[in-house]
This record gives sequence, C-alpha cells and structure tokens, in this order.
Amino acid sequence: MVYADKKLCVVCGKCALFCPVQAIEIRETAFIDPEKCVECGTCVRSECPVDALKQPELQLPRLLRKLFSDPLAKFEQTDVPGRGTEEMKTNDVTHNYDFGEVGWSIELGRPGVSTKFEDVETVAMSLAKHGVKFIELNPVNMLLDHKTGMLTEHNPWKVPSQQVRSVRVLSAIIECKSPIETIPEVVKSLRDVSGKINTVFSVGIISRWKDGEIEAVPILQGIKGIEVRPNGKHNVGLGRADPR
Amino acid sequence: MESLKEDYVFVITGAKGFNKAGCAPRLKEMTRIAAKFEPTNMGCMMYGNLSSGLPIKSLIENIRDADLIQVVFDTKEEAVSVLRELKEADLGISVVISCLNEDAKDIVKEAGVAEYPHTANITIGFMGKKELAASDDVRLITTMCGHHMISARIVDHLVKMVKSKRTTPIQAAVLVSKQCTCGAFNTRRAAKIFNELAKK
Repeated sequence: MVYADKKLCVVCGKCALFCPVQAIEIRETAFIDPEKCVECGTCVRSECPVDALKQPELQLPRLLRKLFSDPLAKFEQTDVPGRGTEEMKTNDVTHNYDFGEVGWSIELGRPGVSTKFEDVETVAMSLAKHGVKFIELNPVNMLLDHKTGMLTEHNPWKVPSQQVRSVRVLSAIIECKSPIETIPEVVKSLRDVSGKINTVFSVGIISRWKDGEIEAVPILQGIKGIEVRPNGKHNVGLGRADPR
Repeated sequence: MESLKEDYVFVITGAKGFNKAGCAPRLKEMTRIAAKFEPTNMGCMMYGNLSSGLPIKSLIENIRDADLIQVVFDTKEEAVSVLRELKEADLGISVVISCLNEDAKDIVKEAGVAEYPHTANITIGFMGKKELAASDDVRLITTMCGHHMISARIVDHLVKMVKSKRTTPIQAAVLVSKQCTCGAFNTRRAAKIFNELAKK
C-alpha cells in the first residue's frame, strides 16, 4: 500500500491536502490510514517536495482499490481507462439504451466520500429485485451476480466475495437498465436503500432524446421531491459502426 | 447555474466492438479540429492535460485506440463551431457534450447535426449519508473532476489562500486542475468560483 518514506518526509503536509478521501494525517511524519486509503495515487502525483510517497506494486485484493480509484489504472476487459465505462458515450453506435428504456448509472462513493463494496452489494441487490438488466462491459458489474445483485467470486480476479465486501474504493458505478415505466419504483427503492448504507451515491439516468425532449424527464418530474439537474451529458449522434 | 453556462466539455471516444479498433487516426484528427478552437483545457487520462503543461502536439502524437479525449470550451458559440467542423469531418466517432440540457439541444441544431441530441445522461442528485460529503460550495469545484481526484481539503485551503491574497484564483484553479488528469476540468470557470467563494 501507499506509504511515506520516513527518512524522506519533511512533514510539510501537502499530501494530506491533496488526498481526496482524507486518509493522510500528519504526525511525526505523514501517516496513511490503510483502511481509508483507496490507492488512487493522487498523493504520489501531488507536489511532495521530496518524493516521499511510494506506492509499491499491489496484490489482490488490495489491487482492487487501485483499479476502482486510480483513473490511470486500466481494465483490460472494458478497454476504457480508469473505472469508467462507455455508458451512453457511444450509445449512438452500440444502441445499448433504446426508446422506452432507462439506464441507471448509480455511482457509489460520489461525490468524494468513497465506498466499501458491501454497500455496493446492498444497492445492487435492491436494483436486482426490479429485474433490471446489468450492463456487461462494466467493471463493477463484473463483480456481481446479475440475477441477485450479490457479489460473486466468479469475477475476473477470482477474489472471494467476503474479501471484496471489505474493499474500499473511491467510487463504483453500477450500470443497468429497465423499462421506462419502472422509473418511479426504482427511484423509491433507491431512496429506501439510501438509508441503509454508510456512504452516498449519485443517480445518473440515461434516456433517449425523443421529439425534442429527454424521454425520462416528464416521468421524473412527476415524482414528488425529485429534481432533475439542469445539466447533463449529451451524446450528439455523430458515431457509427465501422463496416464489418 | 450561471457558471454552467461557461462550461462545455466534449468527450470523444470509439465504441468497443464497433469502431474502436483502428480508430486512433480518427481520434487524432478530431483532437486536431478541437484544438484549432483554442480550448480552455484538453487532455486524456493517460497523458495529462494542457493545464498541467502537456503540449497539444504530444497529446495528439500519443493518442491510441482506447483513449477518451476531453476538450473544454467556455462558450456556446465555440461549442457550436467545433461541433459543426466535427460533423463536416464525418469520422463516425461518438461525441458527447456535457452542458446545460437546453444548450445541448441548441448546439446540436445550430451545428447542423440534428434537431436534438441522441441520448442524455442526466442526474437527480445524490442520496445516502449526505453529511459525509463536502459542502455545496466546495463541491462546485471538486465535482468538476468526474473521477473525484480533487480533495475538499485542498479546495478549502485554497479558498483561504485566495481570501488572504496569498494566491490568485487562477493560480488556485491551475493547481487543482493538475489533479484532474483527464482534462475535463474547466480552469477558467474554477477560477471564477474560487473568486466568488473567497468573497464569502
């Protein structure tokens, strides 16, 4: 795990300022809390005047922290740098999300809190009860049983579920889809489960534009207490598949 | 809300299994087109961004099939101009713009792409133990990095530094932008927000 070389550290405290999860305390030297640290590498890349922060090569299950926290880590399975996914960024080509469907991009740990996978599992299980379809090319979904939402040891890293549950990461994005009419029941479920976890999650909703408006917005606006943010990501439709 | 009118983040990327294999020359051409319009920031996670000193030439030379290119503009007019030229280039690679939803519709129409965009990803905010998250003010800066690499502590610290005139808003913005390796961070917008927060 990341550590500060005691012989080099000059106790300036800069690394503690840059750590996104407040895992660094300044004692007689910089001390990195191994439970809070998500191995994102920010401190190593920050402005340490003496390069005292070191991150040795990590082994599983600790390596999972880095894979889900450091945007410079790459998932070979998805071909996307960092823990991200293509999500709707290429939907004009992949057509993963069609009219009459809604995509759910539930990012646990966001904004800036971090999450353990036990909380990811709790939220995934609540989504699975609605029969959602988990998206295949997604690093978090590779750790989940797609029928139950439970963590499974049949993951690309073959890490036992019990070990995965205690892994803390900067954020983890569950990505799934369901028929558009399920929006109210899924939102209710997310509200219910939000009281059972020890972190936060952002709720991203993927929807096709139709007749000049975003298809899901009128349904969302009909749910009491829900406010659709005025900004979002918009795939403009310039992509196309290469001829085979 | 007002500052969102000065933030248009383009993401350019290929689709695995459809057009990603061999797409690097097209990504490079699209990056060249975007660079002509003098973006506020641009970059790629694996190589860094303009704010951290990466030359545009190096960025373009390094681009590989799997990369996501991020380009930031300050005005709707710039966004329209860039998108128009990307459409004319007709390279078949997906483009996403993060901006106000209403602006997205205008931009796509004015650039001659379509009457409205193809797909949206909108948000209804966040849920859970909200008391664990940073304040609304601090999140204005930290959430500009989609990978959460910017800490609340550094933002708090820099707001105090700006307030006491030990640094300037733009210096503060450039410092935090270095943590957002992908280049989606809008340095000019961040400087304005630092300036506003320092007045509180």
